Amino acid sequence: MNPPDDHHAAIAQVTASIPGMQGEGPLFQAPWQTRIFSLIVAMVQNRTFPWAAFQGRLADMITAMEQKELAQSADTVESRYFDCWLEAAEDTLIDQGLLTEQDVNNKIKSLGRLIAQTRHEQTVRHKNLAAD
Amino acid sequence: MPHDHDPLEEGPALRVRALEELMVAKGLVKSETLDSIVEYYERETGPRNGAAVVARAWTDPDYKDWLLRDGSAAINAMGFSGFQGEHIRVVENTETVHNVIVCTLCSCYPWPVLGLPPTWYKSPAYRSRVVREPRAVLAEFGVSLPDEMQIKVWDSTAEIRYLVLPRRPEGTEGLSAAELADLVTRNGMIGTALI
Repeated sequence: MNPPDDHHAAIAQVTASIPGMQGEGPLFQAPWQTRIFSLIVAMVQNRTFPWAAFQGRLADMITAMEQKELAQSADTVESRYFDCWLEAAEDTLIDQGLLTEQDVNNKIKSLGRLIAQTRHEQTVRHKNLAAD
Repeated sequence: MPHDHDPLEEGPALRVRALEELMVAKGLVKSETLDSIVEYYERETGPRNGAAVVARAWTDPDYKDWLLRDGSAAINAMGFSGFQGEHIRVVENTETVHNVIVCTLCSCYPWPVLGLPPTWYKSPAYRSRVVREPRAVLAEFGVSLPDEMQIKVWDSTAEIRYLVLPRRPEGTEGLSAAELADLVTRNGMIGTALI
């Protein structure tokens, strides 16, 4: 068998786009999908909880969602998949005792205030610039 | 990016930011780790990894035996490792058997070798129909198989993922592993295409 280095060289040579990948959109539709995906992957990777603890919830969310309505378009499939991913992620973190619903709500409120304050400051700066 | 300017996006975006900041504050993750995972999935992983595994199996009988016996170990040996501790089982297409993979529950998928799943793999239509009527679904993908060919549908779980080892195309005897890898498609390794 070839030593592993040969394979990395081989992979490097395979630079042409793989047929079947053409015409595919980006992996994620919105930045938040990227973040919640990698948050779960990171916590499974560092063994905060096992993948199965999250995956079971994801499957349950998807089943429940599909009992209501089946996604038809590609966009809907993707957006609902990550909606389920987010819900499953939050439930897993709560169930693992890593946070409470109250923690999340408080954090959302404080982030909301921070965003409102930043926007207010931007408006004031814009007005000042316009007045100059 | 159809959702960029949708005001409804503020809901999930804010929620995800809250979850990330809470986990970072507890020292359970670092934001830089999240950045590197995104980078890995968007740039470094994908079906090229699987294609390299298949090409090696086509050219190295010892490796192929190992791959079919212990997919996880043989794939790990090429430097592709999973984050989720799952086992990868490789199923071989032959003259008499065609394999196809699905995850009926959600969309479990062999990430280390194929990257993230395509949209159609996550769709309820594919997930429910390929188990019930694989021949019809494969025909829609342009794969028509002789009636006597057995079709095996492998349903992935949290613990076990599947990868199809396609048949090596005829007339490729003179090709190098890198040239062969170029021929291997993602759908070929899911089983919804022939190579």
